[in-house]
Amino acid sequence: MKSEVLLYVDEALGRYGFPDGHPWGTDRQNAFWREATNQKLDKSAALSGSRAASAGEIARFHGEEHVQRVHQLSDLGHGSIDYGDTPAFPGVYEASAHVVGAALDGLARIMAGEVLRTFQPIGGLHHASRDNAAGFCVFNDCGVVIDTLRSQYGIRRVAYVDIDVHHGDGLYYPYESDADLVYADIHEDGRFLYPGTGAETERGKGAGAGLKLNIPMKPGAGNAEFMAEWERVEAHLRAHKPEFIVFQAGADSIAGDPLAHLQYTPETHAHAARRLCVLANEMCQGRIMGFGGGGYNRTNLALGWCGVLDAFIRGSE
Amino acid sequence: MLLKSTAATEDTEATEKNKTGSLGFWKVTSFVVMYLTLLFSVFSVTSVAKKVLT
Ligand SMILES: [Zn+2]
Repeated sequence: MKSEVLLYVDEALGRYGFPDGHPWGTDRQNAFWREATNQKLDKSAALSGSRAASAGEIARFHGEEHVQRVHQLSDLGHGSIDYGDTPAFPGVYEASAHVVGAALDGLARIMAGEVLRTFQPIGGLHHASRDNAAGFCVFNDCGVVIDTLRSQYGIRRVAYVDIDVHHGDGLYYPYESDADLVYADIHEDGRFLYPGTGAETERGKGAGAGLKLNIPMKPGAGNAEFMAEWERVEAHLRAHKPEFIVFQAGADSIAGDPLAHLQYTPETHAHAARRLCVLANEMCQGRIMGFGGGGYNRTNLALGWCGVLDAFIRGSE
Repeated sequence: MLLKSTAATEDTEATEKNKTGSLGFWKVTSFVVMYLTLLFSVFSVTSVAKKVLT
């Protein structure tokens, strides 16, 4: 085996980006790739291109109406897919389908035992709900992975860990009452930032009560605050013993992001990735998928994501 | 509606939850400000002219 890590980077994924000076532009993948090649990380991870997920695969998580509507708006080439954050552009359906398809390809390769870990910088679209796009997220690739693990591979106990500066509402609410989705999310306090949710008191409902951990951080919080709270994430995962980890490593929580107010350095992302690899080795047969998520300062996303990829490459050390 | 694409501010404005900005928001705002300024100038000029004439 050349590598235990599979990295998803290709042109089709790079096309997932919005026009007209939108913060999520099409240059984000390249910004990461330049730094990854600088650090020679591309030499230690196996590379893979993406494929388009079928409408049926996307509909494992999403309502068919949402899938069809994105297709129509994509053909139309303009308009808003949500309430104003997520504009349509020609080809938005195909680009979004590739984000999901790359995730499903990665999942299939992990489940086939070809690799232990995957990293997909353009992915982690954690605001899309089952029936709507939201916050730059058209299709929820992480949600499709979780529902696919269940329907196709019989794995129900999945951990979703999210350190993006925004609350992962597109994963929290669909699984709020779910008895097997172990949820842990450190984000900027919703009283100060979109989407406004993810209070400490949101611990899950019904059969999912206590299985969800939301940790809101005050604006300006830095590495020291993160490291202290991170211990709770590890304890939460250990207590609930997942069989598979999905990690959303949004780089918009690093100091200098134009949309948010946390003050981490890229070391937080590397630390979280290293520790999650350890937990995955302990509880999940090493199986973990990483997604880039948000991040609108190009230097930050390049350094943050390279820290994650580097940790994944060293994962079994 | 809380939008994600609102740019972060460096001062305490960041503590307002209901920042209802969007990508088009600033364009619209600057247009409205420009329009109001123009309207106000026309109004001032008219009232000065009225004073001079009466
Ligand atoms: Zn984010």
